[in-house]
Amino acid sequence: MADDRKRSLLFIFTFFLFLITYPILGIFDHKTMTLGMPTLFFYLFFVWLGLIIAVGLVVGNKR
Amino acid sequence: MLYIALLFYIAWWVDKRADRGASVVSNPYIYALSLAVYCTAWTFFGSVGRATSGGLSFLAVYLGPSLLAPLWYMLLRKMILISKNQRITSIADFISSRYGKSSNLAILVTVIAVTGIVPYISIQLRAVTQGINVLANLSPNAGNLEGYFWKDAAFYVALAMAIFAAVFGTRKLDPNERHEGLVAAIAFESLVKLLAFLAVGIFVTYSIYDGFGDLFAQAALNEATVKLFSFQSSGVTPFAWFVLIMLSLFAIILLPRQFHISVVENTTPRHIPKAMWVFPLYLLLINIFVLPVALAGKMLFDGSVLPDTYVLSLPLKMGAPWLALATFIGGFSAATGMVVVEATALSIMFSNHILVPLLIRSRGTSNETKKTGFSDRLLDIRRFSILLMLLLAYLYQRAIGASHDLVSVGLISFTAAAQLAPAVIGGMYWKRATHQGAMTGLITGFLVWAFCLPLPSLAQAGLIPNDFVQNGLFGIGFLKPYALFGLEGMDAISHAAFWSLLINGWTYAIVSINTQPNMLTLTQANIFVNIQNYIGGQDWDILKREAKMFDLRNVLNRFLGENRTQIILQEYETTNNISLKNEKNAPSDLINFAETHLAGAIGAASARLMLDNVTKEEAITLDEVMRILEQTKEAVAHSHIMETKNAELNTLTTQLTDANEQLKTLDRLKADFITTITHEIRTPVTSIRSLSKIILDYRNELDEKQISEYLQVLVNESNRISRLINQVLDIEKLQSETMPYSFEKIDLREIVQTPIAGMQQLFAEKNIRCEFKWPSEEMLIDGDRDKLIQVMVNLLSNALKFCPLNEGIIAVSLQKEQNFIILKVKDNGIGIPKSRQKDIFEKFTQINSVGQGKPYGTGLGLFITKKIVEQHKGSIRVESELGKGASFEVTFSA
Repeated sequence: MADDRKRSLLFIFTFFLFLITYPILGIFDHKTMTLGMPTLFFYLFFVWLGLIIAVGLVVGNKR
Repeated sequence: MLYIALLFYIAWWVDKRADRGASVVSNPYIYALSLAVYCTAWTFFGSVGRATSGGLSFLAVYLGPSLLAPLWYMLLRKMILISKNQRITSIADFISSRYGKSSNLAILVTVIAVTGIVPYISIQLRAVTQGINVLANLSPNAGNLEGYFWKDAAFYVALAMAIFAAVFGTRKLDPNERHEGLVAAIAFESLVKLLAFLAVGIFVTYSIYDGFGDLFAQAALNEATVKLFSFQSSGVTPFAWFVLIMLSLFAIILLPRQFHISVVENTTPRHIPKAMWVFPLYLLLINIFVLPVALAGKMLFDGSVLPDTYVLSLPLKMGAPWLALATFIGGFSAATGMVVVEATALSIMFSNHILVPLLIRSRGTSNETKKTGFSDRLLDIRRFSILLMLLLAYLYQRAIGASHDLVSVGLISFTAAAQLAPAVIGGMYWKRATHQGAMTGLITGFLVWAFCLPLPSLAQAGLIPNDFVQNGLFGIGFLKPYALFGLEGMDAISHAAFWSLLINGWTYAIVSINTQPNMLTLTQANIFVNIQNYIGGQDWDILKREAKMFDLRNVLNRFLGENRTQIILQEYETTNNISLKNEKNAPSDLINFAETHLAGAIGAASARLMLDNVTKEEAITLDEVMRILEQTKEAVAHSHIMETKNAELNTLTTQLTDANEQLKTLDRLKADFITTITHEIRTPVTSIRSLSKIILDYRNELDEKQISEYLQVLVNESNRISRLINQVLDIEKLQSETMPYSFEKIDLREIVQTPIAGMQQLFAEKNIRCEFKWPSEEMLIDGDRDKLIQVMVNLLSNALKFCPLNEGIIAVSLQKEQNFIILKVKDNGIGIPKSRQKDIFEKFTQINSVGQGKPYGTGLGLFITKKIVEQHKGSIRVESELGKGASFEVTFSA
């Protein structure tokens, strides 16, 4: 279980590292707007929130 | 002023609580908040400034730590365990401890940390000064550069901060360098700066504009602001973005103040999981409004106001001075928090690794001064270090001036802190890393960093010749600080970070591989890499736990009973000389003490489990349960061993009982034998004595015939005694197995015939017939003639003893079957009962039942016979039925 959690966390780290760096980041690197916000702004905060929730789920899941 | 007083009050109150054992800061949320000391004036003022030129690139500084957060569970936890285990108090301590407790390395790291962090502190001073100037409606950088320092507001800010930091960080000396009051104040400050920034953000977004949509929509129409929407248009390269993420990712654990708060001030690693998502959430919240504020400022001021001060200028311009003041307090919070913790952390390093060793060396070893108030002296040294640090920062910011924005200067420090990464992270996972590797890696990294970042900025400020920036060091084109080795087209930070970290890492690895670690480095490396083996399952023992006295007592009562609990608590009271009566909370050492006793009763793992239920910690994790199972398994295995041992013992006991039984039987037999022997001897002795006396007394009256008759009896009786004695002697000899044998080829026919012939007289006396048919074949065996004759005599006299008078028949036969020669002596006497047939060859056995009275003999005959036969590699057995005679069969191999 502890090892599983470590693996999940390591996965989250690498997964999100790819999401917030190029080339994937390049897909959203435009001056366009999404839902009334700059696309990049929206994307970065969205991914960031995803990261926080993912970590929260993994560490909160132990009980 | 009011705010500072409040901070002091918080710190004082928390320290007081901590002294009473009720730690306020031992809480995952407080821990996460205190980590937010990461957000400084840089975040508060600088991010907005950075966003006006670099768009969202400022986010990298917060995404990096958030990205690393999932790895805290491994990385930070390991660092904490190592540090608590090794009593590490700073990042310099950590590195030097890993590489054989090298003091040189500690000094080097301290130097890197101090020089690296000075620019960082300087921007806090600048930000606060700018803030004061904006509020006072002056030009943000008024008084800077021109004029004497005493006219410079920044100087007084530095002085005030130094005093503030000195008072906060050096109020008391703690051997573990833990300052609970400080942590509480920092956590509080983190809350203040978050709320303040959110307030400005909401004010700008919802009061000046009509929400995000309106703000962004207007910004999209403005050419100057719309280009901030993407990295491409704001001129941020993918590599620069990546480097920023990496630098901040290292910074969150390697900056001295972050190490101090996250590792040294950590109360328990159990706070990490919660902090892993709370801290990134904090970062996210404090950054949401940065871009909106930057865009708004850019649109409203159109470049007329310093972007680093937008958060203050916007509320002022929009007629909300109270909000500007509140925001300033938030920014001031951020700056002071950083300065206090950073200065404290740096002063710990500076005094422990540089000043104190120097002082001790220069003063020699005068015990007196060491004893008297050395701790006071140490505090003075700390205060002096803090003052020095802020003075350096002030000088730096005065030298550099306002030519760079806050973030650019801050990133110089991040790059310096990142130089520690190879040594720290390599040291925790790579056992082979050596002291020399760490040393050379750090030195080269530090030199490249210094050459590429702070030196050019000092040169631009005109403090040192500017020539090398343009033309390279010594005019060598390859050594330009912004285009080292000809690498061009990168921003200064990415460039410096790339080269310094690359060269640092390379030399670290190459030198490590090519040098041998010394013994101490090897031992320490082992502890650092395999820390879990050194703390065993007991990793929380070193940490503080707390519980209600009532709960603790309950647990103890349940498992140990009230009496023992009382005794244990009294024992604790007397050894520690305190009274627990009025204590509501149990001190952590009492919990450990109780755990030890509890462990004696229910096992260590279970004891921990029980106490975890009452201590203020999280619920049991699965691996703890696994550990308990493990322990149980061990116990089961142990009991298995015990069972086997027990079985062995049982067999041994049985064997012993058997042996004892045998001995008893033998003892009884011997006693019987002695009785028999004495009886046997006494009978002939009595008759010899009485007959001799008769002859002596009446020799004149007795006639010749009577006398010779008596004398014959005397001879017979004497013979009997001597036979008896001979047999006893034979037994003794057989017993010791030293009876001499003379083996030769002999014919058994002769051996049988001789005693039969010799005993004819005896047979005739009892009128017993003895039959023996002389075989035609030779019966040759290897044997001792006399002994074999003795066997024959014994068998014959045995048969004779039990044969009835007048009708007795003894049949002796000798025959050869294959390789065996079988000798049979058969009689028609009383026979031997089945139950006794096994015993008759034993020593001291006599068949004396069946109403025949005492048989003639010693009970040794058959035993001797059997022994002799066995010595000739033969065997003897008997076949008999009660009343139908007995047949003895002796088998020799031919």
